[in-house]
Amino acid sequence: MSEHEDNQGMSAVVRYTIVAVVLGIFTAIEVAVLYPPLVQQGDLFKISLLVGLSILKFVAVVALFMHLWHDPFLYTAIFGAGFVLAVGTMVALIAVTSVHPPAPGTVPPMTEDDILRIQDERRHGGGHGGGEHATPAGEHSFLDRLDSYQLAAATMQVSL
Amino acid sequence: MSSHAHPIENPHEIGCTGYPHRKIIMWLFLASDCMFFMSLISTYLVYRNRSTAHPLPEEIFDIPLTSTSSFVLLMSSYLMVLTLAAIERGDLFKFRLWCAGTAFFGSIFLGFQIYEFSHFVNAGLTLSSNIFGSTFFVLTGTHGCHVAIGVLWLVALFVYSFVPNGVTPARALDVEIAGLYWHFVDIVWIVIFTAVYLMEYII
Repeated sequence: MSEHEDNQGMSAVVRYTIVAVVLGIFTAIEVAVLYPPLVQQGDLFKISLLVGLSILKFVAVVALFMHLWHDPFLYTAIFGAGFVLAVGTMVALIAVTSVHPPAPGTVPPMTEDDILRIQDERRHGGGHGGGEHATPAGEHSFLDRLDSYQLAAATMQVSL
Repeated sequence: MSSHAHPIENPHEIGCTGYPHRKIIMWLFLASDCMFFMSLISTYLVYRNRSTAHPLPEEIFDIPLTSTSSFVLLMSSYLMVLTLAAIERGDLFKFRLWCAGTAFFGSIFLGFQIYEFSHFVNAGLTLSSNIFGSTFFVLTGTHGCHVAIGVLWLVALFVYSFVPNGVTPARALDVEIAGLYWHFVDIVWIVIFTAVYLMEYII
């Protein structure tokens, strides 16, 4: 192998080594967030630091170790499309399923009678069809009167 | 052609795009695997803090252990890129050394995972103990399976390098494709380590 090719190979090894050392340092900082003094900082700072470092590590590995930086744009487009779809789906799923708990003391706890009424309404489709705990005609069904947090809590108690 | 292109042994390797078929297919696979892992991570995050039964994450996570395994996987990614650089230079000895090192580090990571899983099971966390157990084991277990497949792939490459003309600079694409898979496994763990382990102690 020529001396020029040797030098190119060695400079690539040096470059990869530097990137690996930096990634190791980022990992150490991420773990240090859980210990003093960083743990005493605000939640927003800690979350921003963790997410930011993860993004930097992700981009460094994809761009430099997977060579996307030097490769044709087609590969970036292929992976990027999948990644954007993935992240978008995740954000949408979390947004759709997020439930905000009410203020403490404003929601009475679920009783066993409430849970049995939910099971009855679900079994008989809507609440008025029948069953021992069915809602009388003319009234809103018990399920309709629950807010999203109560419904989520009741669903967990009923199905888990 | 990119600055990272290397000679292709088989001219039929190149398609109408002007790029190697197998590399395009691997990137397509990685894009789909990205969506697959994001769905598992989303499921974990959606059901986070919804478990009513113990044990809960903050009771059993061992951050120093998981940090060590994360570092090991990160270093295996470094060794993988050295493996590719070695075969591109035609240095077969270094290729075998770094390839074996990458597989070894991957095995160490799997060992950490097995130890962690057995510790969690002993603590009462199983697939069916609570929603945290279900989502956690499916997510990290799937990732562990990917790592195991990667280790087998690297061992196969290492063994194949002893076959005459098995692994050569003209066939560096074989090693590059294995490297893409291995690096992807690493970046998925980067996301899992932050979203599953570290975030538990922040929010």
